[in-house]
Amino acid sequence: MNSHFWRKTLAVIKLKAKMLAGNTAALTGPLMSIAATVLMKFLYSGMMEGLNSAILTYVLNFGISFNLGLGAVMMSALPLAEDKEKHTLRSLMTSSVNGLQFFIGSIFWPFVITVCVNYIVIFVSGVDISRIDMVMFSFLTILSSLISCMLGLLIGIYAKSQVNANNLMMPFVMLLSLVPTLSTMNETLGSLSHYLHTGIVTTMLNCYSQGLEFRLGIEQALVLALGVVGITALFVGKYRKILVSE
Amino acid sequence: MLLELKHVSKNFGNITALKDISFTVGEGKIFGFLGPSGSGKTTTINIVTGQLKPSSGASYVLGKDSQSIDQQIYEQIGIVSDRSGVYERLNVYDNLAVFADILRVAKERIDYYLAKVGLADRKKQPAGKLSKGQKQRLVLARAILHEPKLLFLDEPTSGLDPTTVREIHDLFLELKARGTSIFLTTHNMEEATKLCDTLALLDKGTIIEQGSPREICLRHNEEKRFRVMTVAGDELEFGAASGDRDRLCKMLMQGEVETIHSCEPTLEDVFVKVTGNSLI
Repeated sequence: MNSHFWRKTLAVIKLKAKMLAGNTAALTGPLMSIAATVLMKFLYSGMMEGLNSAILTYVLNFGISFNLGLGAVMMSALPLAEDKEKHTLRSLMTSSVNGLQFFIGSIFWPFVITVCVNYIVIFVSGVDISRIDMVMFSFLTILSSLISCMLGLLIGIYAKSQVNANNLMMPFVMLLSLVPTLSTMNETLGSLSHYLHTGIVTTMLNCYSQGLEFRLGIEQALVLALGVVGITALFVGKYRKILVSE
Repeated sequence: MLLELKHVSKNFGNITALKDISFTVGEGKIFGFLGPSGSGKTTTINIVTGQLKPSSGASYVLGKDSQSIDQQIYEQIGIVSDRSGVYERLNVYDNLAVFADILRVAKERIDYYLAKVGLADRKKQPAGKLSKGQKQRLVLARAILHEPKLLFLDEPTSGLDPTTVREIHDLFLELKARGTSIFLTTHNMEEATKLCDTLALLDKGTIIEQGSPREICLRHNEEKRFRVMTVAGDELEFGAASGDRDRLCKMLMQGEVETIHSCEPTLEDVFVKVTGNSLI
């Protein structure tokens, strides 16, 4: 990757910062994650017994699942769907921006914001940080943020418009946000949660709430690796197909 | 040759959009594709710019097969089409600044080209607030910002007012003088006649005539008629028959002729004559 590659990528990152700053619909997701965490903490405040209680971890898990399942996906999918709808994606493509440059440029801000919100949610939830292995937490939430943002880009690139992106997004949002949150209440949801990156984050947080150590298993590592590689391949393949019609 | 099409055909299901299209565009030349709506002009642009696969045949842009155009080729071409969008929340200047960054263009050139397309006073205005014609000019400014070797213009002046059209035409001629080749599609006969070195008349996906505008018109000038305005103010028409010729010579020698014009057919006349349809 030479200097031309990074110059174009930086240009797309700058462009996306300006575009995202004006896209209130896309920014609603991460803000809602923080707001929902505050609300949940308030609702459960009467039931709390201590800072490291299961409820506090549940609140944290709720906020992070919401952020990974809704915020990240929304922030990535809607601007890309807008690019397709307004033909600006085609303008970039025919101005020598390739799939990888566009991918990095588009994912940068949603990824950074999602990662930051994950940390903000820890403080908002009030969980005792000393009970959390921050290295593992950081590794897993950063990787999960990346997968969620990539999934959002994939939805955005398949969508025909922003409205269509919203419709396509909903099943994924339900799956990624609600399945891990409700996994302890239903065995089937619990099994399904093992195959979701948001579910792996939930498993980690559940371990910390019980004072247990969390180690990433082979199956979980495979789920995460498949998420990154699979979505990247699908995205880059689809990017080229958007430009060239049959 | 900067652009070359060899026997390109395109079918959409049972519909033939292009049939055996071949032509070349040389350096510093303006090639026009003149035809009515639905004749295959945009399809041709989409094929040569690598945005559509042909059913058969091949096209080459700057020596490279259109189907494998890479970033280096896209850096050397500019495209204006109805599929070229603008960032509506960004202002006019920022819309161009993004592409200046991507294409390594000095920011000073943004102001130069904004002035050229008549948008200098709108540089701080959000692109979403521009009229359709102004957006079209913004897309044009973006396409020429990096002074491409080859410019693809799909109906670039459609919907613009006459004054702006004249300014844009002057800009095309200026670009041509600097060595940019232009592939222009239009259904405007005057535009094609004024700008194009060579043009092809397209009807239902088939090239029906090809050559310089003058060559095409003269090729169909079978009647060779002349229109004369006499000193007395009468308008008369003369054919090529010997009687008419003698009469005209006599009038000229007696100083009775105020103006005289040849009546060769226009491109539209040729199109109507060959296809039986109008250009619009």
